[in-house]
Amino acid sequence: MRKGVADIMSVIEFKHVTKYFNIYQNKSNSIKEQFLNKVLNRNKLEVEQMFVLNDASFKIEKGQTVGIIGENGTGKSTSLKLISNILKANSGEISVQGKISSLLEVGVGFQPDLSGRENIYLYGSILGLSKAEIENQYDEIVEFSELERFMDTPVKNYSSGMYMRLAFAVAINVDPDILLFDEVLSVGDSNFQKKCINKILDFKRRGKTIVYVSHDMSTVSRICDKVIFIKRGGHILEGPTERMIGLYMKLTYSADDAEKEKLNTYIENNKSDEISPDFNIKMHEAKEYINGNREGNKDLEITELYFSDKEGRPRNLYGTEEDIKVNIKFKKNKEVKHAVLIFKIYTEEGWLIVYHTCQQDGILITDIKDTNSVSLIIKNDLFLKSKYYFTVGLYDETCENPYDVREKHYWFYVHESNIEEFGKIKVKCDWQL
Amino acid sequence: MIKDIKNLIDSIHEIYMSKELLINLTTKELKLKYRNSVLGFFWSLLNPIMMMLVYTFAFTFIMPQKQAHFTVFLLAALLPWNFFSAAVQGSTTSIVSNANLIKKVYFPREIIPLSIIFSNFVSFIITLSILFIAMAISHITIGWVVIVYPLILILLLFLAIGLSYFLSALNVLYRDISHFVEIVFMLWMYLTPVIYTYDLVSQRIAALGHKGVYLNMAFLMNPMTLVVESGRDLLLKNKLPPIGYIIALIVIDIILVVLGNKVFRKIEEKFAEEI
Repeated sequence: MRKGVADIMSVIEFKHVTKYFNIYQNKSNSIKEQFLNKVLNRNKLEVEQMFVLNDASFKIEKGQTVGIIGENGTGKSTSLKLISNILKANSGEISVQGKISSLLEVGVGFQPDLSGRENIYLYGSILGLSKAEIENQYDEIVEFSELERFMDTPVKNYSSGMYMRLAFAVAINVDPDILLFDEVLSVGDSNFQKKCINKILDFKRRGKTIVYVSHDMSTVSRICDKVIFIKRGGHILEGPTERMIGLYMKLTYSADDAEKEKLNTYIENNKSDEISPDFNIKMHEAKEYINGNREGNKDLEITELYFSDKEGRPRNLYGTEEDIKVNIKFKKNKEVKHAVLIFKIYTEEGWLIVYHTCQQDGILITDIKDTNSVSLIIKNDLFLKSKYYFTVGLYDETCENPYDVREKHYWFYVHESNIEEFGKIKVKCDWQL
Repeated sequence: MIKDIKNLIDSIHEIYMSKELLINLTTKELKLKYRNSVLGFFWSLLNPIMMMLVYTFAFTFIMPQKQAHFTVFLLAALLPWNFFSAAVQGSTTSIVSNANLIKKVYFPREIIPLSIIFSNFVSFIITLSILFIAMAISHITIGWVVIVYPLILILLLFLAIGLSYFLSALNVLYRDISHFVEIVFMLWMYLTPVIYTYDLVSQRIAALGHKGVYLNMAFLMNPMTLVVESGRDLLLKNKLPPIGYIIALIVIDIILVVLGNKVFRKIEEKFAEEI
């Protein structure tokens, strides 16, 4: 049904695709207004064209998992909609082979008055499942959603978490050739999110083609084979996952304007090879301490650490009430059974104010593979305005033999926001007069 | 024109491939109509029953009519008219009301207005049972010609479908179309012999002399006149309608559906951006 010839191996192909949106300053949606405007010769329609894709060409092959990243308002969701035929390109050719299931929003088409069971059938058929397929998978869906007891209650009585879980359980049980995800993984508690990611990895193993749009760099680096970066203005660049993520972070968060300019010209001229591969996530490294201040026998080696917000967007500047997420990657050089992760936080004066181990939270790191990711969220209801240095370390389970400890290698900054106080720690007081 | 017919066939094929979704959306419409009410689905029957009682009172005691069994005559036209009005008006706004589906999922977009029309059609068929009960009470015998009645219903259905293709797509671009349609339907009902009989019209036309030809043409150019009169002929007068009516309806339907599909497909490309 889609015109265009694609290679045998490529499942999705964009050839010189351009897509722009018309931004109207004063558009009217009624015949009466348009008629009056014409007759009275007033209100010339002001139109601005916003390009979200500009001469974009790329190929996605069968079985690949491709991430699409970029700042807000670039053509990420638009690309998914172009693949799904929800939007049409202004020029260029798009060819798609295979059955698509697009999860652009979870729970689209849910009817509040119908029961959970009825909505499973309705939503499933909206996503392209046949009645027989839904019946087959009904039990799996209900089990995945953890909502067995609520199948006959109307969905309007569900909490928003239950709503999302049900929608997601149906969506994740669709069995198409191509899956498109648009930032839909941020639902549910961490347990549920883990289930969802495992299901996606399962799709990968079964050879499905996946296109994944997200701001959460840690998931993107975990599941994507390659990444397409869309720059504001519509130019795209394709490359290996780590390199593209590094490029994105440099462009978005770097304070060095000259470097940004250089990168911009690289992208526009599509010279992806010239971009040096050391675009790693080094911006959160404390230059003062990064060379040296490291000990350990390196059986496990910490390769990367960066800070982000709860959703995974990398940054290291926080308000006084914002939670701090730490994303850590480490690799295995020798066989290790268990490990303990510790971290320390120092103020800029050098005072040690936090020394925490995962054992104190009852966690032991087991099942250590060649490369590993760990993340933790520090609930910030304590820190006030200051620069903070961060130490991260991996020890064996006795906590005596270090594998890799990086002292003060990283930093983050908490700014004032709405609390004006000197001192480093917030306290709550009950006054009695 | 040939290309347009080919496009229509492609469209129909696409819809057929998603037929389960169409059935599900139609069922959803029917379920939702009376989901939270006490009487539930009984309302679909209660409506025509109440109409029958009220009109009998009005047109037998208050304003007696010359036409024998006036209530039955009225219902035989009013029920299909109500379906037509509800189906077309409902489908006109359907694309805009389902903006979230249009913007986030792909399926043949015609399924949305079609589900509105089909769900109204099902309700309509159910209300016909009341008409048949009313006919039995009035001792009106049903002749064998009633076998042709389903054909009239199909022609009416496609009339609604053709119009809804135009209107639902245009409503996306010009939101006041739905208001125009509302007003047009109000007037249209009085220009169709629903609450009066065509016999009455013929008498007035005869009184006008040769000028009456234009009035007659005006009535006959209205496809709903053809539908309503054919229905009355088949059900109540036990005679076949003029073959010209049937042919005219078939031609009108084909033109509406083919051109309507063309317009729909053209505007469809912009749906996700305009809603």
